[in-house]
Amino acid sequence: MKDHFRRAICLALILLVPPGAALAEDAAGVSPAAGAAPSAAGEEEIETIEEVETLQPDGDGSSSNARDWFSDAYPSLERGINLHLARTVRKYTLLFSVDHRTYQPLTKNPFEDFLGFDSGNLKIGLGLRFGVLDWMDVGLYRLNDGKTVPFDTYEFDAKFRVLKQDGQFLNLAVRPGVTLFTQRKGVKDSVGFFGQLLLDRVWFNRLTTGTGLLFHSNSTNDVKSNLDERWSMAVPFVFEYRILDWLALNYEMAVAVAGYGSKYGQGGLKAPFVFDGSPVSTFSPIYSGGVKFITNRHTFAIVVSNNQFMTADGVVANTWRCYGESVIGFSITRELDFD
Amino acid sequence: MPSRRVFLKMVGLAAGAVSLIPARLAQAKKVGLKLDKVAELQKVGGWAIVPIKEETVLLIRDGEASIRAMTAICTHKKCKVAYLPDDKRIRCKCHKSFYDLDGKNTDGPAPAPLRQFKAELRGEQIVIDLG
Repeated sequence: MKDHFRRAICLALILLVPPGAALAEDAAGVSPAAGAAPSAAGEEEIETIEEVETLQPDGDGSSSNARDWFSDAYPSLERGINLHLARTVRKYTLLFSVDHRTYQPLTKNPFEDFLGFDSGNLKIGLGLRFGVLDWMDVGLYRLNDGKTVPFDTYEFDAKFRVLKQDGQFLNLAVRPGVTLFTQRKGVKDSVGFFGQLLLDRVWFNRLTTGTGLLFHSNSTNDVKSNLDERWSMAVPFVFEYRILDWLALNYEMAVAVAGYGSKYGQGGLKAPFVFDGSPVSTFSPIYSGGVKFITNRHTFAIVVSNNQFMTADGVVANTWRCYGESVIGFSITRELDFD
Repeated sequence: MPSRRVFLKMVGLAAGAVSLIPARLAQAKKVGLKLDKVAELQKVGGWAIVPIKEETVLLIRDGEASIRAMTAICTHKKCKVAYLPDDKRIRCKCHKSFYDLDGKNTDGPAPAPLRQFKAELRGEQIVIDLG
C-alpha cells in the first residue's frame, strides 16, 4: 500500500515540473541561435518583430513637445479658473483646491489693504475632488460666509465624462449637484440643485476652449436666503492657452441667458452694493482672467475677477460688479495619487 | 467517495494538465528584434524604448554581448523613463525618480522597482522573454 502511495507521489512530482522551466533555462544560457526555428524538441518559439518603433521618454517640466503637456506627467486640469471643463480628475486621484477672492476692488487702497487682502470679507473656497473611475469624479466644495453674505455654501457634485477628445473629437461631461446654504442662527438653511453640460476641446495641443450650459435653481448670489429660489441659466466660455508646459493664460466668462441672472438690474432689481465713486453697477457678465503656473502636481493661478462667488450658483448669476470693481485672488490645486 | 487510487490518479492527471499551461505561455511570450533595426543599441551604453506587444520596454546595451530589458513605465506616475549612460542609472524625468540598472528604485517617489524581462543577444538578434 505504501509503495503505491510513493509511486503516485513521484508521478505527480514528475508531471508537475513544467516544460516551461526548461525554456526559461534556455533563455539564460544555451539556447538555439537567433531567429531559429523551434528546436528539435519543438519547445522554443520566438516571434520576430520586423518593424521596430522607438519612443521618447516623458518630459520633466522642460519638455518642448506640447503633446506631453497633457500627459499623466502633469496635473489633470479639470477647471479653467472657476468654471469646470469636461475633464475629470484621474482615477484614484484626490484633487485638493484652495481659492481666495478679495471683496474690496483691486484699485481701492491697493497698497494699504494689500490689494484687498487686508480689507476683510475674503471669500475662501476649499474643494476636494476624487476620481472614482476614468470617466467619473465626485466633489465637495465649501465657500465661507462673511459680513455681506451670512451663509456658508456647500456643494456636492459628480461629474460624468461622456465623450473624450481622443476618438470623439471633443470632451463632453455632465455635472449634476446639490448646494446647501447653511445660514446663521435663526434663519432656516436652504438647498438648491444644479446641472451643468460641459464641452471642451484642446486645439493644437495648446489652446483649450470650453463652453456648455449652466443651471442653478437658486442663483441670487449676494442676497441669497432660504426664500430666494430663483433659477438662472448661463452659457460659459473658457479659454486656456498653454504658453509653456508650466505656464498658461486663462480667461473665462459666464453670461446669464435665462432666469433671474438674465434680468439682473432690470425690472426694479437694484445692485445691492455699490462702492463710492464707482459707476453704478447693474449688470455684468461674470469674468475671470489669470495666469496659471503648472508643476508636476500643483497649479497656482493669480486671478482677477468681478466675481467672488466660485460655486455653481455663483457663476450662473451675473454680478453686480462692473469691470472697474474687479477683485484679485488666487487658486491653488494639489493632486494626490492613490493608485 | 472515490478510492485513494482513483483520487491519486485524478491528482496526477490534473497536475499534468497544469504543467502544460506555462509551457504554452512561455513559448508565446518570446520576442526577437533585429539589432540593426534599433540604431540606438548598436553601441555599448545605447538605449531605446520599444513598444513590444502590450509592453513598453526599455532596452539598455550594457555590454558587447549583453543587453538588459525592463518596463519603461515608471512605477510612480506611469511616465516613460530614460537611461543615463554616464550615471548608469535610470531616471524618470517627470518626478525625479531613479532606478539602478537592475530596475531597483533607489531615489525619488517611485514606490516599486521596474519589472525586469529576460533578454539576451543572440548574434544579431535581441531575444526578450516577456513571460
